[in-house]
Parts: sequence; structure tokens; C-alpha cells
Amino acid sequence: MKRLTLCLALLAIFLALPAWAQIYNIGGKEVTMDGFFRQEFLFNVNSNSDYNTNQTGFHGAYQMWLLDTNLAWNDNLEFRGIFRMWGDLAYYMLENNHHWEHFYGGSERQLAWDTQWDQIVRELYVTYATDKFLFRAGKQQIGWGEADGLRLMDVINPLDARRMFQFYDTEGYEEVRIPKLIIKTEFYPGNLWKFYDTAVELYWNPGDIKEFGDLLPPHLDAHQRPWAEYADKYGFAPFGNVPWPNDMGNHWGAWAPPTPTAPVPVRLFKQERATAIENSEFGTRIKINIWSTFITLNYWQGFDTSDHEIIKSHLAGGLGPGGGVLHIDELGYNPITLGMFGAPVAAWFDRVWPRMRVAGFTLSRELFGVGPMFCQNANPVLRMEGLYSFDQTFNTEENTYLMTDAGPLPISLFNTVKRDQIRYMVGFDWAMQIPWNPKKSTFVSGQFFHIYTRGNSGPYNLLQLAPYDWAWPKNQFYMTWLMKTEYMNERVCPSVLYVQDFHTRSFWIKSKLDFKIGDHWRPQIGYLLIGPNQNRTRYIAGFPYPVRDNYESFGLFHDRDTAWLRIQYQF
Amino acid sequence: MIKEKRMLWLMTLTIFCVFFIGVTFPANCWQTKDPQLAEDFAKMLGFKVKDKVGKVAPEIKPGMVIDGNNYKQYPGLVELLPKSLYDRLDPKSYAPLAPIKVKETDQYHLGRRYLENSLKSAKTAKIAADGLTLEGYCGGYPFINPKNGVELAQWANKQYLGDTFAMRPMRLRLYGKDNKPERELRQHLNCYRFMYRNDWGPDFIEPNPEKIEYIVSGTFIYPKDISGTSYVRKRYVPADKSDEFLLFVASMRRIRRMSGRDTQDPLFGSDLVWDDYNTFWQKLSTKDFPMEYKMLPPREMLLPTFIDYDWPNDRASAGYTDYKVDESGEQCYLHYGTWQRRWVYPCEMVSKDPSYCYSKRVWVAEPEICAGVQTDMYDQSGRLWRSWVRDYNLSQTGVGIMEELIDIVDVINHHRTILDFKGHKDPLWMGPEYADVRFLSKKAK
Repeated sequence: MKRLTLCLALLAIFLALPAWAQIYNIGGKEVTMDGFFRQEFLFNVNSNSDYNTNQTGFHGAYQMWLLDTNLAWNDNLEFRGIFRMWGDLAYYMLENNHHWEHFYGGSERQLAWDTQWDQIVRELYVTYATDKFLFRAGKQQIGWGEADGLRLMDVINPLDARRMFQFYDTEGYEEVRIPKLIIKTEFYPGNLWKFYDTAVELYWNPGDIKEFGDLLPPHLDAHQRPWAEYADKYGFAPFGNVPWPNDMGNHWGAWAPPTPTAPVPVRLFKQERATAIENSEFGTRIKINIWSTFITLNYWQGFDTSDHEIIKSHLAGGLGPGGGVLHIDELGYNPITLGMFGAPVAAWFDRVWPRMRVAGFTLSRELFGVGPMFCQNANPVLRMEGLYSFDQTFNTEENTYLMTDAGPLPISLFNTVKRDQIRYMVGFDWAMQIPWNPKKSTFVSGQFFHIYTRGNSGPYNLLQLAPYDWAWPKNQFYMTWLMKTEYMNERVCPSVLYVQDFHTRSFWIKSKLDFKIGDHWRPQIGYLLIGPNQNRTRYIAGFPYPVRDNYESFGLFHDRDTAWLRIQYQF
Repeated sequence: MIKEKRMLWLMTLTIFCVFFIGVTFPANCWQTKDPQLAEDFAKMLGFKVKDKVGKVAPEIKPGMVIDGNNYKQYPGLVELLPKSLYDRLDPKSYAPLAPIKVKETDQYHLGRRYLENSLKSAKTAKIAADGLTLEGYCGGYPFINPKNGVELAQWANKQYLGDTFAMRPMRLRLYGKDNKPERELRQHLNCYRFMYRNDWGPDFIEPNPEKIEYIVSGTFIYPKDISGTSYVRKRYVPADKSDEFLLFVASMRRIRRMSGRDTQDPLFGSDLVWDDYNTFWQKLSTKDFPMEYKMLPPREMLLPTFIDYDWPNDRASAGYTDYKVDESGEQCYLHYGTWQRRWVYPCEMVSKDPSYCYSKRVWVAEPEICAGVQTDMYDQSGRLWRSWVRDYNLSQTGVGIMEELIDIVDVINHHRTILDFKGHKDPLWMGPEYADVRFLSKKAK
């Protein structure tokens, strides 16, 4: 009730804001303020999956309140604060829905509303800028890179993937990057040799490490109700039916990656990282222009902010009561399954938080003369981005033997190895005259990605997302294709982004219609189509039958095709 | 006693009237504050505009008000207004004109350095062998008395809006088919000139290895969905070097390079395209969208009167309450306080490239300030597409000039954009840090 009252009060304030929104004077200081209120309704158009990994029909009602403020103390000094409340009303609207409560109700505490202070005070920083240097300190996000749809150089802030996972086009990343406390300085040497407009940026994060919680899907994270998943799948358990753990406090909701077969509960051990100097992160970026080409050279040394986590089998204790190991082995000698008739056991993992070191570049250049060759008014703009990741940590699945009193026991363990990886993207932006819209050009953007993992030829599979079987190939290719235009003087703006994973042949297409009604209303309708990977059967050594429904890459979300309606009021 | 009271009232009324006339009216008309400079300017040009006008439709006199009800009583108006504006006197037309109050013709002028640089250029400036490029230009008028279309096109190319200006803000007010408000966008716009400066500081900002003539940078502040979007656009002197355009996309928190050749698309759903900025902003080129330039006979035209105010005033607080955008009625009216006869130089620019958005543009130059005041653009099938009319905010010392109110009407699609400005003329605090990546870094937040 209190929350509802608060929401209504905020709504009243927000609706009153247009009268005084924007720039006004407080005590002789210029203060700007704007923001929006947004309500989205999401509908899953797939039928219920065999594994109960989706919520058919209405499955999300995201609500967001955002207030963006800036105080210009003088020409040099500014303070900025971005405050946000983000929640999902589906947890209230679906509270009588058995399927929802059964499988997603447990994430309500984490996903119904973001109530932590560092979630509400999203960004807060001070900027001091002169014509020689810029200094900015505080909680902020840094957007490196040139790529849309997929992230390469955008490595500094981790992403909050709980809602809509990471299916973002040119917009969206700004809202889900998790800001960090960063001190940024930028110096302007001016023109050097043939370089012009040069700048050197230095970054230091004094140990503010952000994550968005336990990334294990809820089905796997059932450690508080041992045997619950087993009971759910098979209808019984050794100790009778076990209620599904709906108080587990997991961070995943309806956008959880689906669960691979896990007949036993899984427990993830992780050590929270505090803000500490030994957790510092560093980076630098050099910006230069030469021959009408804008180039950045980037280096970052920090914690891995990839969209997956690295886990390791937890080897504490032994087999049996109170201890426990293990991942399900591939050979059928499954100690946990064998132990079903004994005390409850779980597969235990430790979370590994690897550091990363990347060096890379971005480049953009207008391709002069190309436009006229294709009867186009505008030239395309070439965009490139590449990075070298040193000693990147990968998960592996390793078959080995555990020495026990009864002799060696074959087991399968998750472990880590380090490999170098090269990632690059080549793409273009082009405002093209296309006959379907003679009044306005259509923005067309194509990108090609190649990810090469050095040394990926050993005995181990490098897993993309443990504990899934999905492995890194030596060469991974993606492409994206974005088109957007506008009609009726930008009152109607259609756009579509297509992303293809060539390795697994999975894809996703995000199409949207944005409407601009007056200064304040920005409704949107959209549809996200996710195509599964084509080869979904896999043979495992020692097993005569193939594993079916082996989803990989975007295909993990193939049962999450979603239509949505967004209503946004901005001021 | 009664007589004394009457005298007292009369005196009070007189004082009030003197105050009203003395304070309010002078602010409402443009009158030079440097008569000697005005004379020198007229000497350089060889004429005063006010001496040239009055021959066409002499029945239209200062003090008259022309509106949709009486305009047909003045057949000479057809000759005093371009057809695009004359047609808008019809109350049934799309975006009809507000009543035109006619006043006497003023004599405008720019600053002393502008005059001196014009005289220098007169000795050195010439059209290069390619038939278009300007060589030997030192600032001021490229050609004081243009003799042909190419020389007049160089006026369009070298229009002067001060060494610096800062719009706080520039408002793009969009109107739909019913001529009612549709949306509004606002940006903070900066202009910083590196070469051919005339108002303050050195003539040329050094070092300038890129040969930047001037830059335009800006940050959108409204509405929220584009707020924070910032850009730097560099205009280079070399004719074969197109603009450099860097954009900070706030919704991505990234800097993106855009094509400097992408100049024909409307901005954010408005009727403003880069090539039309300031009535004409197309990069003159013999290769990219070449044009044929033809000087049409100079003519008389009724045009809005310039005004003069500066930051922190806006036009209302400076006394120009009759210059306004009135959205209170059935449809929107843009009121220029007064209009006056001007002697103008029209230039017909015909596109040689059928892929260009316009087949033809008629650009109308004001000879006393070397800037465009009205322009009509035609689509590739020859229909009138967009029409501009505008005033300027010109300092009465001649030093400092700025955008003011611009009326853009799309007569084919029935859409309208009014550009409405407030800002600083020649702000001394603006430096080259507004012209490069430093600006984007500061705004990249």
C-alpha cells in the first residue's frame, strides 16, 4: 500500500513537471531536470515449453521512473544525478497465476522493484572541465566502442540482463549498464603532428565492483529446496514431494536462461567483492583524428564484465552427507544420482571472478565518393572495432577421476583455462534513399563480427555459458543488419534489427514502431523473434542416445518470442 | 484648482507618453548607433536600400496594415511579395501570414572591420578557373557588387553571423496539417568562426591546420528522447572537402561519425535540412550536387524588419512584444512586428543533379548585410516545396548578428517549422573548445 501511495505521489509530481521541467534558476545556478515515466506490457507468443522455461502470454509489466538532473555550478563545474525506480508489476498482476508463481514467484524480491540505493541512485557524478582538461568522478557509465546489438569494446560496465536479457538494438544499453564509481580524467593536447582533435583519457575505478547478483537460472539455483526440481520433473522425490523454492531470491525472472538437465539441486558459492583498493580497475583511451578518420586506442584492465559467469566445481568435503562435489558426469557413473537414496546432495560450484586485460581500437571514417557511385546522397561511414583480450578465462568441462577409498571415480568437473581472444567488427552506417520512403532517408547499418579464440584446439571444450554444453568455436561469426526510418515528420518511426549467429545459426529480429505524439508521449510497439540454433541434438561419449533440445546461443531463448506495448510519458 | 489638477494630469500623461515613446519605441525600430559607419557602408555599396525602394506599388505606404481581409485591395502586392508569401495572405491557405504592418525602410549595416575586410577582398577576391571556387578572399563581402549568379552565390556561401554566437536555446516549433502545434525541439547552438573574423579577436584563429572556416556545435535539451544529443559540424574552406560531422548519441553514450554529405534530410521531423540552414548552407561544389547560379534582376520586396536585443533579454523583455509566435487561436500565426520594403538580390540556383532534393532554389539576399532573407525551394518535379522568410537580430552598431525568427512552410505536405531563437551575439567567452572533441566530451554525460 505504501508503495502504491508512493507511486501515485510520484505520478502526480511527474505529471505536474512539464510546467517547470527543463532549465530553471535556483539561487543563481542553472538546474536542468527531465525524465520519464514508462509502462511496458510484454506478451510471450510461444506456447509453454516442455521444460517450463517460459511464461506464455502476459509475462512482464516493466515500470520505470527516471529523473535526470544537472546542476551547473558555473561554466566549469557541474553535478549530475540520475535517479531511477524500475520494477515489474507482473509479480503483482500474476500473483494468482499458478505457473508464474511456481516458476518465477521466487524472484519477486529481486525483480518486482529495484529498491537498493545503488539501483535508485543510478548515476551521480561531478564534472570539472576546462579547455585543457576534464575531470569527472562518481558513479557513472562509460560507453566505449562502435558496435550495435553486440558488445565488443564496451567492456567497462557490466549489464543488468534480467529484463529482456540482452536483446537491445541501438537503444537499451544505456538503461542496463550497471554504473561504477569511476574517476575519469581527460587531457587535450590539441594538434600533434598530423593528428588533430587529440585527447587522452585515463580511468580509475578504486575497487567498486558491480555485479547483478547470482546469475544461475532459478531452476539450477534450487539449493534451498533440495530435490525440488527432481520432484517437479518426475513427480516424486525420495523424500516425498518437495515444494518449489519460491523464496530463493534469485535475480532471474521470466528472462532466465533455460535450465539444462539438472536432476539435483545446484549450489553456487560466491564471495562478495567489497569496494577495496585491491579491486581497482584501470583504463586509458586515446582519441585522435587523422585524414578525416576518427580513431580511438583503448586499454582496460579490470574484472570480466561478459554476459556470462565463470564457475568452477567446488571440491570441498567429500562425497556423501555434508560434503559434495559434483557436476553430473558424462559416463553414467553419476555419484549424485547414485546417492539419491542417501542424504540429499547437490552439485556445488564456486563462482570465479576473473580479471581481464584488453587492448583495442575503434575507427570511423566517411567513405568519400561511395555515395554517388550508388546514386545516394550520403556517403556510408565505415566503422571498425577490434580488441585483443589477453589471457581471457574460459570455462571447461573436464573428465577426470576422483580418488576415493573405493578407488578412482570418474567424474566431470568444471574448470578454467586461459586463452587469448581476438574480436573485431567491421560495419557501416548509411543514410540511404530507398523508394519506400521518398521523403526521408532510411538509416541502414550492417556489421560483421569475427571472434577468434587462440589456442582453442586442446582437449577441452571452451564453454560459452557454463554449465551449458555450448562451446566456443575457434572462429565465431556474427552479423547484424539495422534499418530505421521515419514517416509523417517523425511521428511514426519503424526500425528493425536482425542479428545472426553463423556458428549455431540462431538469430533474433527486433522490430519496433515508435510514435512521437507531441512533446511528451512516446508509445512504442514491438516484436522480438528469436530463432533457435539449427542443430539441437548432440551425442555424448558413452551414451547411445543423442541429447535432444540442446539449445545454444540465442536459441536458449527461442521460447521467449515477445510482443510488447510501451507507453512513455516524458517531461 | 480644477485647472491645476487638469495640468497635473496632463503633465503626468505627457511624462508617461515621453517615457513610453522614449523607452519602448526606440527599441522597436532598428536605427544605427554609428551614423558615420552607416554612411561609409552606403558609400562602399554605392547606395542605400531606402533610396532604392518605393517605386513598386507606391500605394502601399508605411503605417498600413495588410491582412487576409484587405490584401486584394492592393494589386501591387503581387510585385512586392514573392508568390510563396503572397499566397499565404489568403486566410484559407496553409499557415496564413499574420497581418503585415508596413513601416519605413531602414538602413542596415555591419561593423567597421567587416567593411574594411570587404574593401580588401574587393581588391583580391576572384572566381577561380573552375568557375565557382572563391580565391583571394579576405573576409567581408566576397564581391561588393555581384555581377553574376556565381558571385552572388558566394554571398550565400559567406553569409556572416558574427564571429561567435550562442543560441540559448534555438527552438524548432513544429506544426501539423492543421497548423497547430505538433512538437517542439530545443537545442543549445554554438557557432565559432576560425577564419574571416570581423567582430572581435584576430582575423584568423591559429593554429588551424584543418582549414576550418567555422564550426557549428549544439546540444539538444528538449524533449527528453533526444536530450543530450550533441554534435560538432566543421565547415572547411577547401571546396572539395565536405563537412566533418561528429555526433554524440546520448541514448548510446557514444560518439558517432556521420556523413558530412548527408545534408538533405529533414532534422528530427522538422522542415529544416542542413543545406537550408541560415537560408542556404549547401557546400558549393563543382562535383557534389553542382548547381547553375543565375542572378535574377534586383527587386523590391516586403520583408520583416530586423530587431536588436541581446542576452539575457529575449525579444519580449527587450520591448519587441509584437514579434511573437501566437498559438492561442485556431491556428498558429507568426507575427513580425513590422515589415518594410527592401531592395534585394535574388539568385536562382538550378540543380544539375536530379538526385538532389531540390530542382531549384531561389535565394534572396539582403545587400546591406550580405545574408539571405527569403528563399523558395522547388522539388524535382518543379513544384514549390519549402518556403522561408525571416528577420535578423542585428546589433545597431553593426557588430553582432544572430538568428531571430524563421518561418519555414512545406506547402506540399502542409507542415511548418518555426525556428525561434534567443541567445548571445558575439559571446566573448566562446573559444575553440566549442569546436572539437572537447565539446563532445563535456556533453558526453
